[in-house]
Amino acid sequence: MFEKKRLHPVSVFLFTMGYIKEAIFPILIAFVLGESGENASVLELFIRFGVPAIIVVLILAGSFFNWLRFVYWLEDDEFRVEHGVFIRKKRYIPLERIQSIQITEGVLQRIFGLVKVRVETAGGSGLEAEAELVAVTKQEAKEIQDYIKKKKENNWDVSAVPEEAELSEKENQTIFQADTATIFILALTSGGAFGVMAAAVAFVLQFDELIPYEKIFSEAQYLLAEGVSAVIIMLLIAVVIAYCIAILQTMIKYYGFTVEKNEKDLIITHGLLERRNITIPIRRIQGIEIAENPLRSIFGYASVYVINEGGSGEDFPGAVMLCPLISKQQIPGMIKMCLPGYETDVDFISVPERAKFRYMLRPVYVILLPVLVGGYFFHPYGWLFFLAVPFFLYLGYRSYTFAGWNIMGDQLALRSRFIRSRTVYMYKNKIQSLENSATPFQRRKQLRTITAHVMSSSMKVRDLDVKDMVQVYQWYSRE
Amino acid sequence: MLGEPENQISERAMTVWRIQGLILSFIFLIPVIIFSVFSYFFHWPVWMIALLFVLWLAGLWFFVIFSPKLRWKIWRYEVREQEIEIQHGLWIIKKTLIPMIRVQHVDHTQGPLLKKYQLATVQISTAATTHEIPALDEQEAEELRRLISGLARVADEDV
Repeated sequence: MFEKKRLHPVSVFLFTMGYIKEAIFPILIAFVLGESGENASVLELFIRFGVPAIIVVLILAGSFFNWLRFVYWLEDDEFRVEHGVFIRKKRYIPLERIQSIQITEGVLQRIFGLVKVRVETAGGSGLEAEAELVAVTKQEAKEIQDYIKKKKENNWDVSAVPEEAELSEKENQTIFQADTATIFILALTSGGAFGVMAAAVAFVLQFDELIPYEKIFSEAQYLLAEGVSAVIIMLLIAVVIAYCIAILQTMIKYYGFTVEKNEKDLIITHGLLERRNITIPIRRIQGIEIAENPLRSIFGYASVYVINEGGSGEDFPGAVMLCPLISKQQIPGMIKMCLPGYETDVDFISVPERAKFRYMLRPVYVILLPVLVGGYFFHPYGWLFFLAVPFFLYLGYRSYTFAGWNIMGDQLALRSRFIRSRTVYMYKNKIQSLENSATPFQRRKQLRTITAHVMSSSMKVRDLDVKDMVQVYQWYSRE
Repeated sequence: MLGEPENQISERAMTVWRIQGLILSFIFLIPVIIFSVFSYFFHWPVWMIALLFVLWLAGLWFFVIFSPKLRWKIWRYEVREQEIEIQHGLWIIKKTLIPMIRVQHVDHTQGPLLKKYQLATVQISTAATTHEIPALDEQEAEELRRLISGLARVADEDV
């Protein structure tokens, strides 16, 4: 493992693709600016074909030298990467700082039986990996992974219990696997569908000036007796198509979602075209979050995340999806198998009844101004906006019934809901700091807001009884 | 632990905050003056200018007199062997508990205004959050910084 190694030659092609993606605009601009007709001058011909050709050649050469000058190796308990054609960049990452190794298989990598390796450290920016090997053989990736793991165990995990060491001989144990039906429901209920719709609408509006919609519409009206309904039908079709695309996207991304476990790590794999493989060291997990969006909670489903030290979260930074969709009854059992230290089957102590009105009114404050403005300007029907008020009161009431806390041994659990609900379980020794705050109104009603910060996440519950707050505060205090 | 943390920050903090409030108020004065000039040329009603100046005066009173005093009164901290407790706020009073073992590093900063009044700020960082004790006496701040980093080194526990 100590000799300097190059990436697989396919990397040249991967680099090229990356650069071309970035240089696509200059190439297109040159092509559009140039001319190629019979009357075209040499300069115009050159701009149209010569400039793009030069750019491509430069990119090819650049990619080749980039590959030639990119070396990585393991030495002195460090993962070392040196690269750069003119300016040499050296990056040495101490092995104990490595937090996770992500292995992904893109379409291109798959053809050649290769993988992409991302090395991530704690607290990094989250967007850019500390080091990325775009294409290495699967075996090579495995060797790197094993080497880092072994080194880490030898060096600083002295506390490992012998019995655990015996277990390590065992194969990875699969603890969760989502079947295609589950992934389909996930896709059906995901917010991504709405995202695609919004994008589709934006796209259509963008081309407003190019496509003579009015002409199309007027002709359509002429042809069809009821033009309006035709437009509506067209819009509906567009929405349905957008929704289908979003469903497909989500399904491809989460296809074959599997969670495996060995005594040290959780290994999460998913994806159809690009298989992602995320390894999370169990001792570095900061907490568990169970999230329910309203659509899924109607059907009794929730998503489970583990809060990580850092790295790149897909949905929100610092969190990795452990279970995209699971029925709520199954959660305690799944967590028991996955992270036996955590107890998710607990009874929550809710917030006191005197907090009810505060909870119910809080969402109303948010919409009060829009409702008043809307009501004023869209007179008289605008006052129908006030119908939203009872709905928001109800939302607040739901938040009130859901909010709560629980302490069990060294574990603190907090939960709250606005539209989406969050339940977070965390250990005392992972909580970085605890806040207890109160406005004058809260003080008058003997209520407190609690906020617990863990690495890369935090959780807040409003209007806890002051006695409960004191209890949590005492639990957390070491004196 | 359930009462208030015992130490208060330096009384000179109030002076610094008053100066800062004054600077802020004069920045607010600029748009007020611009508006007045406009309203003079466009013959807007006089009561609008009057209202603006009243609002500005209220702001001046709030930032220079009311807020520094109350803020100082509420500000408290206590460094114990195993944890640091901080209380601050104006409208919302916030109490924070930071275990010594979670402290990653302690910073000591001093801007020009604080330096003039021999004050300094101590910043305590954990892996997730940063907490500030503003406007401590210079020497006290230095001692505190040393005390916290000493205690933080002693306290050790698996993260």
